Amino acid sequence: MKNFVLILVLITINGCAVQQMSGGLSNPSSPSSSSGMPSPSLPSDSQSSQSSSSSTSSGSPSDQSIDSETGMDPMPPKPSTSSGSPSDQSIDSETGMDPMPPKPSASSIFDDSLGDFDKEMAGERVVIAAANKGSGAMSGQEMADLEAIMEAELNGPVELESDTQADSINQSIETENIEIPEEMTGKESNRIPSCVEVNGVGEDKIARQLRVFAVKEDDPSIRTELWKQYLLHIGKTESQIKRCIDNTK
Amino acid sequence: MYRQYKIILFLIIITINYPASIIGATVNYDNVKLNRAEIELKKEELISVGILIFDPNVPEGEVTKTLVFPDIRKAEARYFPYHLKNTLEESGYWGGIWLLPSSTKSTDLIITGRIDKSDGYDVTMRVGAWDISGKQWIDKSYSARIAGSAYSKTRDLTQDPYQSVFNQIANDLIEIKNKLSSAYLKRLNEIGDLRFASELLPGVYNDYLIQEDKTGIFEPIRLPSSEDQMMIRIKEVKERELTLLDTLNEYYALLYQELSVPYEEWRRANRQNAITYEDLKRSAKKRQILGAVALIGGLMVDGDSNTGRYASQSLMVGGMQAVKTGFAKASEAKIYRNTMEEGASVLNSTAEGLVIEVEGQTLRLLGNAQEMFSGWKQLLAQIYSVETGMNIPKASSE
Repeated sequence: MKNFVLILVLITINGCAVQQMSGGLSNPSSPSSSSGMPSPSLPSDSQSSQSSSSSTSSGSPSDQSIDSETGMDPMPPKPSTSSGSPSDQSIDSETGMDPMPPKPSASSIFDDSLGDFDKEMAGERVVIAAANKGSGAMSGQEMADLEAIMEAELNGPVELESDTQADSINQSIETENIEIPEEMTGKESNRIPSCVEVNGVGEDKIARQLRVFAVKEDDPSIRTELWKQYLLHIGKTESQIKRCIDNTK
Repeated sequence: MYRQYKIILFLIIITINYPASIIGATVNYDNVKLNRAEIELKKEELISVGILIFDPNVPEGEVTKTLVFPDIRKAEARYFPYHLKNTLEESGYWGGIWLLPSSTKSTDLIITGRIDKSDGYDVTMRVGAWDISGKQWIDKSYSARIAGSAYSKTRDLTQDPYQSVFNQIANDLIEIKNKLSSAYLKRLNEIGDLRFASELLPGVYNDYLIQEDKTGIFEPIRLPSSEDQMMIRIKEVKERELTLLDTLNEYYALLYQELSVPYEEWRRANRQNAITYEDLKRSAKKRQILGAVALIGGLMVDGDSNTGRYASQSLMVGGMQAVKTGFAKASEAKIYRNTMEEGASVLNSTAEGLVIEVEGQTLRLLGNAQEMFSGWKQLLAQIYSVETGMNIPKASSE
């Protein structure tokens, strides 16, 4: 009998606990910071960055900017590095603690995403041009558009923040001097059709841009269209192009 | 008695002659020339134009009754605005012109349309135009009766058989635009940029504009500095929206090109069938009515005298004959109606495939782009907070 009473008491206590938990989850008024629109380029919404800045009210504006720019969830404040100076970060790395990898600023994410968008649109237009003209080449205007867009992509986005202008210029200079074969990963080099010179000797600017575009393209159908345009541009005949593309497949 | 004979004689003459008078009716075909710019306009005088896909306005009810083929109409709803875009471009009075799948704040002028009738013989469409400030330019119905020569193979093939309607719409828009000052056009550009900016960062840019309660027209209160970095970024995003529209318009161009030949063939054939069908239908109706009148007249005539009997019999026979030919004409009209349905069914299936293809591509591109734009919106808000050290103020309209 005592055991029975004990079991009843235990069940009653557990039942209350379960009820409380379920009541908390179903509460519609509970704050949810993840209700923003899905955005692959943005890991967290602005609300979280705002809350991070308020929680670290003793930090400098630059601390806020780091949180906001990376868009990452705010790190809990470390008592030992409350000042958050750049020297503290270097000390962390020297002492062998996990250094925070350099995170791109919101501005650079923004610029990169513009470039990605341009690239995507240029790829679309190449596919449309190919569909439009069958095996024919792109019109002068389309080629000019593609050249302009891809040139922007190759040169990298223009940094708008004055403090990062120098970095941006260096970045664009570096991009200009890139030797494409050295840049390519194994996966990318496998994407080059057998009939195409790997080092791209003698190709002009447009051909080079089409090549860069093609090796970086993940979608096989778009990549094939880009290679077709490349081969057309360098003066291959239709039968040569067909053979080349077929061999690649 | 004498008066009665006069009435009967009148009815007989009408019965014999009326159908001929209908068939012999003359039709006037308008030939509107496009107003083209004689010199290249300066950049400040150009504004961008967005033409929304037209409302296909497919009536409810069976196709056999309405003779409006839904898939042809849906294709026309993309074909017409695309041709209007071509016509506006040809005029040389405008900046960039795009066909829009949905409303946008990226262009300075938005044109909407609804197709009321289009059978190759008659075309009616209602067209409205509003600038980005909210001011209405036109809201008007355009109609034309299309001449057979409009389908001639030897004509300038860049000119659509419905070209007069498109030219008239373009001319009306040009006339309104030419009355506006360069300052107003420049302001439209500014309002456009601000309205676009307000969509991306409402908390920051909503206060730059005011909307009048009565008219709903937007007016700028102040303008951002030309060195406003955020505005420069927003213009970058706007450029991307226009790039997206460029890409979408390439798909619409494919539809336009692939549809143009079969659609014109259908219109040409349908025009002839529509004319014959309408004539036969009208003729059948009139013959039936007049036959019925003659029969009633024959019954009313006093048949006591020889003359009366003769007149009564003539009217009865004439009336019967008219009713009979009326039914024959109605049957003939039905054959033409069936011919129109059969002719349309081929194009209908072609058009359906083309529309599905372009809509699929549009949805795919818009879906991807929407994600990007949402991302940019949030990134811009973050950049604003970083650069100013302030959180985005809550928009007054939010």
